[in-house]
Amino acid sequence: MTPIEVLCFAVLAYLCLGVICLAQMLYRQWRGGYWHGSSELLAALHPQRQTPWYRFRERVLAPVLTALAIVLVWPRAAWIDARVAWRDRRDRLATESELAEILHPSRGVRREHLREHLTRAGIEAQEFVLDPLGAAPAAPFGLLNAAWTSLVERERPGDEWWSFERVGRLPPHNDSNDTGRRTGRMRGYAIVRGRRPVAAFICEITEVRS
Amino acid sequence: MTRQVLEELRIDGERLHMRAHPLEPWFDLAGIRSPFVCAITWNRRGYCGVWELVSDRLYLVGLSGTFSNVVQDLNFSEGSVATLFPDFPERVFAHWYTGTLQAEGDAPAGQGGIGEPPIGRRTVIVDVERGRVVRRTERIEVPAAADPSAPRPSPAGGARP
Repeated sequence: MTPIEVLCFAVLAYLCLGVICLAQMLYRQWRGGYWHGSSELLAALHPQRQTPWYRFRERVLAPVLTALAIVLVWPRAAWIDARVAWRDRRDRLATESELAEILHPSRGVRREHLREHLTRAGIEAQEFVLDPLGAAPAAPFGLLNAAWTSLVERERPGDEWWSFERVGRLPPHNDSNDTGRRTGRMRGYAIVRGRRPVAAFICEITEVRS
Repeated sequence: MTRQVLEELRIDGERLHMRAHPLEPWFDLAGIRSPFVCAITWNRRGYCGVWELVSDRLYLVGLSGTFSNVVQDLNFSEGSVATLFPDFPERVFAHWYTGTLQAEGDAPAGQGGIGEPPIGRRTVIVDVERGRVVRRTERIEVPAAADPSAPRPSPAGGARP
């Protein structure tokens, strides 16, 4: 083989790997549901996205240029793709861990978080949601009533009801790049048995901006 | 990062754009992951909500988003949130939300008649506690050229006395 043939073979092999990389990325995009169009509501909110020039750029120019770039500089594209996949996995694991804390709030509630000793009837009266337009269930905690009811079922004779407030980590947003940096002030109510919170319910989360 | 699509806040019949996402605390409180996925770079959170202030209460009246593999427009004509809140398909009272909403839009001139150009930018800041408005402030920023009270340069180039 002449050096020219070796060079041509190397370039061809490089481009073939680029095409394989592109195909793999397209498959992942397709599996992730990213190929579907945007909704009518979004279009109505942002009419500038409906112009022919914008559509051409969005649907033709950008995908073609991106595909070309992936084939030509596929090592860089593969590196970016791997980083995105790793970040998605990390976010998913972080989300599951933080959701577990919200779903089982008693894990995170300690005595120092307790604020006020209350009665169950008092809490229900204070947190009763009554909307004049009927856009929420007329019940204590409204849409969150099911969670409250399951907490009430865990009450035993002699238990005390306390309000609590604490700061904890929240699951990352879909549009967040900084996993674990989202924190929120959580307010709710806890069942205290033997001076120890044994079950709790979070009814309000306010994100704390750092 | 690509500029993200803004949610809509309707106040007194006017449509403003806001950066806050009052639906996120709902996912946290319900202990669920957001069912929406990013399908387009300018909407990484995967959905766009339409909110309305009625009688000092915050309501979710429209929602559009992309679910895992299926694009589903949740906004049936004038707004339906049935997919996330099947018992309240028209509107749902956002009693879970506590925070500050900052919305922006054009400030209409005079009575805001059709075809009348806006006189500037209107910013509305609404403090919400458990879905109820506790404070609302508003400011209108008028560009110097459009502000009739702003000092104008004299023909000679200096400011008028």
